[in-house]
Amino acid sequence: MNSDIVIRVEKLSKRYRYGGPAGLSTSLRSDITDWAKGLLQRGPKRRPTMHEVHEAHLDASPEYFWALKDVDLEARRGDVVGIIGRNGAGKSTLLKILSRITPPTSGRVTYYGRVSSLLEVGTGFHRELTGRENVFLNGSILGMKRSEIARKFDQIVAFAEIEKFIDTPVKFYSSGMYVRLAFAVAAHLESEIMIVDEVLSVGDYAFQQKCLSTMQDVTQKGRTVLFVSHAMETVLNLCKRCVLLVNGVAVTQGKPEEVVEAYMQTTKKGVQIKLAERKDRQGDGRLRFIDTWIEDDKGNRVRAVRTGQTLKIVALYKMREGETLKNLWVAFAIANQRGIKITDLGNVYTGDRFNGNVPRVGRVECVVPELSLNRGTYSYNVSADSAGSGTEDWVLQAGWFEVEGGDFYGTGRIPDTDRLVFMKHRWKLSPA
Amino acid sequence: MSQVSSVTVISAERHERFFQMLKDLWAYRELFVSFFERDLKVRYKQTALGAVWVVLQPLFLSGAYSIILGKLAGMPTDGLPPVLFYFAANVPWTGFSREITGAAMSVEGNANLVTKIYFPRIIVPAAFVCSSMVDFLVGWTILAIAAISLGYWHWSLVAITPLLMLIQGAIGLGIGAILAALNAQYRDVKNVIGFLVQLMMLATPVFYPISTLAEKVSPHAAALVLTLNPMAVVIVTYRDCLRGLALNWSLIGIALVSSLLVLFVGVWFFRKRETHFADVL
Repeated sequence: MNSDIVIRVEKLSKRYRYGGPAGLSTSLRSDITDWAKGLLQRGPKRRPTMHEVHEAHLDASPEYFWALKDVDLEARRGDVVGIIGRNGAGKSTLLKILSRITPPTSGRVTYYGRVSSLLEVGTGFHRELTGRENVFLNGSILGMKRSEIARKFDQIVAFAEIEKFIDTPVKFYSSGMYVRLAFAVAAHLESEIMIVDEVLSVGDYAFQQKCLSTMQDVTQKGRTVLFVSHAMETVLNLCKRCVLLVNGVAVTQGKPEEVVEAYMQTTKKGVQIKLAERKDRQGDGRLRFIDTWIEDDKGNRVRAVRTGQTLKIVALYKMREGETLKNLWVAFAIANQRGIKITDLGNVYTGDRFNGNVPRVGRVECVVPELSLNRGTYSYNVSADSAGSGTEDWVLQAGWFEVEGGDFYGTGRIPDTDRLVFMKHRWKLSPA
Repeated sequence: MSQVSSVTVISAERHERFFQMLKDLWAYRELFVSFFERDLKVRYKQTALGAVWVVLQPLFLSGAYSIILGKLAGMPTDGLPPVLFYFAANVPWTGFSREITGAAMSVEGNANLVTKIYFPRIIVPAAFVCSSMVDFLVGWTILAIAAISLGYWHWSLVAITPLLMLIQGAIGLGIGAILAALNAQYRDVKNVIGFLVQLMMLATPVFYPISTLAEKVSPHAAALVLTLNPMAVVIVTYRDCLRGLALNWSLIGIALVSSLLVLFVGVWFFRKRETHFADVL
């Protein structure tokens, strides 16, 4: 049903220049000549101006790059479409174009219905103005009619739970009150189409949940939401459809589960210095690690895993000619991006002994079921020891992997991202 | 079935079309009102004297001019009492310089909005200029009271003021919009504004009567100033009203047309550059 399509994105592209936009001298001059020529010629017959001819050559220039290239996308009434991708994949650029903050270089977007975008809550709030004044200001910035704001005013204030302070300047508000009021206005938007940045759901836990449940309500009313997200669990919870951006290109579209899977796969092609060629290593060197990587539970090499899923760290080693080892202790020491040592994984702790004649070329794997690390980037050191002779090989930051948010507890509720680890736990309440 | 209330198209060409600009402006008319209110309310929040500041500045300046220029330099004042003569110029001029400066800084000042949400950006300087007009009216009221108490009141002042305000606002917004668009990308503009306004003041008969310019320099210079500088016409017309002279309608007509032209060029230039504000701010 064609008429049900409410958002249509066609061949959307955006080109940026490294180091910011071109100087005024070129663009001002071409603006003036464009304008003068435009006076004489209008409509499709208009000849290409100097500016447009110039544009055509930009593609060849190494100074320019495409932040987005030929992105196509459609959303039907009531769809919640999630847009995912790594940092720098073009998510923010797409969001900016969709919310009309910056124009595309080419291509077009068509919305059928009232559209509003929410890149942050409380845009335009003024410290000196009262809560009441800010509700009206912020509401009309978000595109609400003043009569509409007046009609919903009591609801908004009740939602924010700040009735007593509504005529106090917001500079005297606590940050919680401020955010509640800002969100209350946004929650009363009645647009048919919403463009939302997931950054919105940053805040304390209760606030996040309120945002998410409001989003769910919104979609149940048949409204369409385009949702740019960095958190896989929210995408899986909320979205009906999903788009994966890689280097400005929409590579996969479809069911969230499949697209999230594809996202995890794209991460495996990372840059890595070959472990075998690293010189910064310590130990006797009778045994050397030559490669290491991460696998998922199906044995695919990946760069990222989700919280709650299986993490498998694999390392290949090779022994020097003519050497034998009677036993082998292998350890992977995991640290987060800030260099905080999270934990050591080692067969010395689990008691899985590699005794007897250790194979000359071998593959060691360590399986972590139900990964309890929070979102983030982690590196690990690899080390091998043999009883009696000490360290054979030790390489700092031999490999790294990423952890994407996952539903660790199976309840859809996840602590803040600044918490390092999850722990399985149970609760009990009894009369005492 | 789908009931489509509005269709929005985003494309690179959107900003090239003049009628699209008018449509966008109309669609966001209520936001203009909100910004207008905000600018008005915020300006005197947490000031002890509030709107009195609007009057104090031109009043002190007029007093200073009367003493320094009148007593020391012996500058003639076209038969008006010196304070009234200078006040009639300082009220529109301080208003005008506030409009240009405020409009020029408005896009940078609202960067947090411009990078987060869409609206036709011209609303920001336009609302600022319009809210400054309210300040101007406060000053104008004091001017009227002074004229009445000194015996120089003529009803033509009331009749001509809306037209002169239109000229003043149009040229203020026109130049302000160009400066605002440039300032979004080049913060150099900030340093130029004060200097530019001072230069413009010298080319405007604020502290000298236009008749003296005609006598001491040349009648051509005076004619040139009046034809090219709409603000000169505005100030001269206020003074003519107080003196009870017949108004020079052809000059007022030229000033109106040229200020609207400046407004048009300014807004169009702004429109062409506003697409990049979010990328450069």
